[in-house]
Parts: sequence; structure tokens; C-alpha cells
Amino acid sequence: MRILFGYSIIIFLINYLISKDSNNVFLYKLFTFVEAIAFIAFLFFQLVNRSAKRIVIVAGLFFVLLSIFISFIFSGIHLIDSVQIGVETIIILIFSFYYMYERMNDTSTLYVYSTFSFWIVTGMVLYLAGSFFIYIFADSLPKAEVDKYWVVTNVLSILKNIFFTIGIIVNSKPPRKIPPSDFEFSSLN
Amino acid sequence: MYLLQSNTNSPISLVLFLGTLGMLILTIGLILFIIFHQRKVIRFQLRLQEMEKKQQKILLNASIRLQEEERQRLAADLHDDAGPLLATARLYLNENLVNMDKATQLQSIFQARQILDDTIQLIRNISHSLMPPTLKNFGLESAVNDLFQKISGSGVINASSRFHDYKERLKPDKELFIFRVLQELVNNILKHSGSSFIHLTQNFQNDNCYIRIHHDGRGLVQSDFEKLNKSKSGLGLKNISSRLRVLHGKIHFEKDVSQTYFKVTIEVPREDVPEEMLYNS
Repeated sequence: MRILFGYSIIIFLINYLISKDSNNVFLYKLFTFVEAIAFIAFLFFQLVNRSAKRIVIVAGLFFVLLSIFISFIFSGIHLIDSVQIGVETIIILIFSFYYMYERMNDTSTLYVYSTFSFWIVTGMVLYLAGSFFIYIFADSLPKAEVDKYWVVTNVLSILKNIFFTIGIIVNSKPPRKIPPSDFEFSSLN
Repeated sequence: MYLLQSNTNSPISLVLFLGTLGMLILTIGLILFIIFHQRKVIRFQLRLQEMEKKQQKILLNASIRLQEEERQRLAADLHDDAGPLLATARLYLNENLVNMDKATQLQSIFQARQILDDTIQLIRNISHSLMPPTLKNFGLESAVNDLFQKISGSGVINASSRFHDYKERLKPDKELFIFRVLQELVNNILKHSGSSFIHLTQNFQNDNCYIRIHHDGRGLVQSDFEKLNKSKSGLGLKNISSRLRVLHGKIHFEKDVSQTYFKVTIEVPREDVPEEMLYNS
């Protein structure tokens, strides 16, 4: 939840700065970077399998290195960086589906949608999968045409936020009360 | 469609539209599959738990009924046999005895003594049927050999038993449970199989005690046993199941490869199985 809270505040600030200076390449790169790191960190804490956690760390480091490399080599070429976003999407989609697979096999939780992380991951997956091709082709298409498709990204972003809200609501529900194991009946007398 | 209509001329736009649509459909499909699959698995598990509970209820009912039958038998034995015998002995030893002549007195006392001896024997038999003294004092091997000798001695059927590896006795409560299971099995064979022999062998393997009974009459295979175990009849078999469940043991009914004999194998662990291992398995 802390990750989600931090992510929301930073993303809100970056979006505010982008609205002031919409041609700042660094802000777009920072947006992608913060988003990817937040999602990867969230998945890291939600996964149970230790090997999978290790792979998440490796993938996260790879993404950080790639982001730094791209920022230095190709800085200022494109407003939206397709490679960085493409790698981010692929990494997060893979681990999100692995998370879903873990949850599918876990029968200790009654239903998968009763956990807050399921809603967060669903929001992430829908947003990233839906906007994947738009970001990939953003470099190849003229800006006027990209703008036409931008509505899809906005809709998906709203959908993601709705799912995140559902996740927060699910998380804020009080846990089911468990009767004490050493309940003393004598206290009733 | 607005997006597709506005960009029909550009192949990249078409790829973008179809790609986005495809990705969304795939993702939603996958999420829905995961939700429904998990629900299916949980429903299946709940059904399994329900069946398990039902089975346990049947076993519990069977053991309660068996206990009640045992009590009724005991009550009948005491009321119908021991009661009249003691009442008769009392009649012989009434107050008028002192007023009688010496010969009649002696005869009455002798009759009363005879009746009291019979009563003692009867009570001893009841006590032995509840807890065989051989089992308590000398263990399962001696109790089983004793039982088989008695059966063989009747001349109706040829019964033999052989314990290959029983130097170290099992815990007394385990022995009693196994003995009861064996008694029930032998009783069933005598009642229903019409076989000409019963042969029992015992062995230890991988810390498990194996006891196998062979007979050449009509018998059960595993599927018959499971069917009877789930039905409302077959009280004895349910009792066997519940006793073996307490011991964390197994039972297997099968027909010999030669299709001539029936085999019943009991497998009981030497040591008590830890609870967590049971749940894991």
C-alpha cells in the first residue's frame, strides 16, 4: 500500500509538471521509470516464490540499467521512448501473469478477487497491455495521429485508477474475526 | 471503431488498432480464466470436504451403533444369563435352609455352588470377550494364535497364523485395535465366505506392520469394500475403517493373481504419525 501511495503522489507531481511543460523529454522518461519501478516493487512484495522474487530483482536492475543507458545515448530524440516502455510492459506483464498463476494455485484465500493485490495487478495489466501497441508505435507515427489514439491510453489509465481504488477499498475492509482458541466458557457464568 | 475508421489508409494504424484490441481481449480473457478456474478449484475442494465430512459422519454413526449393540449384548448376557443364575442360587440359599435337614442343606449348598461356578465362568467369558487376557498379557501374536487355534479346533475350518517379525510389540492400544479389526475380518470370513481355510501372516517393512489374511471362499475386492463402506449397511466394515483411521493405517482387499484366493492386507505404521505429516499427505 505504501508503494501505491508513493507511486500515486510522484505520478501526480510528474503529470502536473508535464501539463506545465509538455515537451520535456526527461519528465516522460521519469514517468515511465517511476511507474515501472513502483509496479516491479509491488510485484516483488506480492510474489511468494523466492526464485521468482530473485528474477524480479534481476529484471528490475536490468530495467534500471537500460533506462540509464537509453537516457544517456538517445536522450532527446523522442518524446515517448518506445524501447523503455516496451521493456517495462513486457517485464511487468510476465510477472503479473506469474502472480496470477500463483494466486490461481493458492486455495488458502477463498476467492482471488477478495485480495487487494489482485485488483491492483489487474489494473496494471489492463493498462499496460492496452497501451502497449500505442507506446510501441508512438515513435513511428506522426504526433497528430498518435494524439487520436491517446484517448485509449487515457481511458485505460482511468480504468487502472478505478481498479486501484477497488483494491484500496478491499484492503481497507476489516479482516474476518477469528474466535479465540482458548475461549473460557466459565466467563459466561 | 472510430479509431479504425479514421485511419483505414495507414497499415500501422490498423496494426495498432488490432494489436491493442488483441492485447486487451487476451488480458481480459486470461484474468477471467484465472478467476473462473480458481472458483472451480475451490468449489471442487469444498465438495471434497463435504464428502469427507459425510464419510466421517457415517463412520461415527457406525461406531456409535456398534457400541450400542455391544452394550445391548452385554446387558442381555448379564440380564438373561447371570441374573437368573444368581436368582436361582439365592433360592437355594434362602432362610428356610437352616430349618431343613442336613442332607437337603448340603444338596442345596452344592447346587448353589454349582450355579455360582457357572456364573463366574459366564462373567469370565463376558470379560474375555471385552478384553482378551492373552492380548493384554502376551501381546497380539499370542492373542491371534489363540484365536486361530480356537477356530481351527472347532473343526469347521482350517485356520493358521504366522508372525514372521514380531519381536518388538506394538503399543497395547494399537494391538487391541488391530486385534479387533482382525476379529471382525475373521468373523466376516467365517460368516460369509464359506472358505475351507484362513491363513494369516505378519511382517514388518519400512517401519510398517503388514498383516495379510488369505482365504479361498467368497470375498471382497477394494471396490466392493469402498462401496459397502459408503453405504448405510456394512457396519462391521465401517468399524474396521474407523479403527484403522485412528491408527493411520490402510486396508486393501484384493483377489490373488491366480484368482483362487482372496487377500486382505492391513498396513499400520509402527510409530504414531505426526498430525502435520498427515495433513500434508
